Amino acid sequence: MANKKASPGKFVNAMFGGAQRRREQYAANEDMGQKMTDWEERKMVNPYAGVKNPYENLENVHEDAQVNLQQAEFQKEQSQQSMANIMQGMQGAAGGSGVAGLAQVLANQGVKNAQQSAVSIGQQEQQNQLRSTSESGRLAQQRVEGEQKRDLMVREGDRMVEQYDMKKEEAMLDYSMQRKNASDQAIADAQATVDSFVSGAVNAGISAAIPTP
Amino acid sequence: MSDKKIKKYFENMPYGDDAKSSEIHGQQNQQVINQLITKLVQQYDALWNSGNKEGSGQINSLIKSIARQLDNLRELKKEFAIAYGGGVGGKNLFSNYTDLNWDRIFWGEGGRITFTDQYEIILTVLDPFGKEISKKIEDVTENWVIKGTEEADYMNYHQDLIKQGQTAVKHPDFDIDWAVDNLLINNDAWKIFVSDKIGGVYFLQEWMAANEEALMSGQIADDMLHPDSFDPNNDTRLHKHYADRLKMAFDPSYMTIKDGNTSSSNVGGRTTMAAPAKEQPKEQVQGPLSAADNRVPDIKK
Repeated sequence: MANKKASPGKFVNAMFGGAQRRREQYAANEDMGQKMTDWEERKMVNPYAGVKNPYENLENVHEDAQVNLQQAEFQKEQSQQSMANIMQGMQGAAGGSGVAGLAQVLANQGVKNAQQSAVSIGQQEQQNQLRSTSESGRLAQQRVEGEQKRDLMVREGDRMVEQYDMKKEEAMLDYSMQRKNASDQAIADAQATVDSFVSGAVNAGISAAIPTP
Repeated sequence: MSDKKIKKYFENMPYGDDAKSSEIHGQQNQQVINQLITKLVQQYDALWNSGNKEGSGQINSLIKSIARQLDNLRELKKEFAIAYGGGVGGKNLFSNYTDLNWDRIFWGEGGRITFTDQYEIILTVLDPFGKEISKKIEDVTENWVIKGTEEADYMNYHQDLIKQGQTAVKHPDFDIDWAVDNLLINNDAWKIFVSDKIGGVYFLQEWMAANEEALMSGQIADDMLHPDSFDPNNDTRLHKHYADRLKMAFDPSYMTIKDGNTSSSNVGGRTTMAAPAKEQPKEQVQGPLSAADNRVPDIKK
């Protein structure tokens, strides 16, 4: 606020403090400018950008399930035992209709427990198929849900970036207005002090020159 | 139903030749059939009484059609019983190739008879895996393979070749490969040769034993394990086995000579049966057969 009353002390301050104020103002402006540049250059990055759906490439562990042929316990005759050993060892081919057909014929040939083996293989095939189908469904649901979550996170990140940019612009506008006001005010104050002293001095001179009746 | 149970069932079957075709599949099925026929007869009566001869004629045809289907089914049951060795000490004529899981259940009164909208009979059983399997009457015998004279025919060749092998002839008087090919292919007899005991030997078990390592290491693909994969129209494994057996009947050292084993080459076999690729020009031998005829030249020299 302008000082309306003339004062020699304030005048002196107004006359001789200018350089110091300008230095301070300059330094403040420098500092402020640097910080502002840094701030302007700092961009917020969407923290969720590139988030991957963790369920995207999950494999169905039941897809290649094998039939366990070890349930077939063949004993007794040597040839039957030999057939049993082979059947037990046929893990690579187990699970298909070929080995089931083979087991069926062996069962018809009376190979001990081959029928049980054929039934067991058939049941395991069915169970494997059921598990595989069920697991496929579960994984598909997980993939969809995971994709939805990932999409929501990325959108949330975009929203955060947008909000940050808007706040930054608001704050920068605020600062620039405050700065402008402050510098305007300082100059106006100094001018008012000088004006007030000059007008006080003039008034005093006039009063002294005109004799009192 | 197990083999024992179905045999016991046929031994004690409470139906004779005069049994109705609707009663031989169990009480529950008989009720289903009777209910349907009763309903149709009522409809027939109503249409006849109302003077609708055309409608009543159609119903009459339907009833006769159902009766015919049931008669066919009865004949199939008889055929199955005979082929399965019904009665005490009967011989099962079904080839091991035939999957009789459905038949054992249905013909032992464990199945269910239903009708389609067109009044066609559907026969359903619950298989050992808990799955329902339905068949129409015309599908029942689709996979039946009944043994005939295949084993006897093959063994006749075998005996004949053994006899010929005892003589001085150097070649059998027929082409073994051609004979085996005909035996396997005629009437799809290969299904029997794959699955049944021929001359005391199960081909499938022999093949499995010979290929044990490959089977256990999974080198043989699943589709090559199925009995159908041995169809001689597409595959030579079956032919080779049976042809080799006949060749060995004529020449006991055929296989070892073929495999390049010279140590047993003069046991009594004939070099003429050996693989042509391993034969080398022989010295001319004068006079009757000598041991030199049976000797395979040492190809390492």
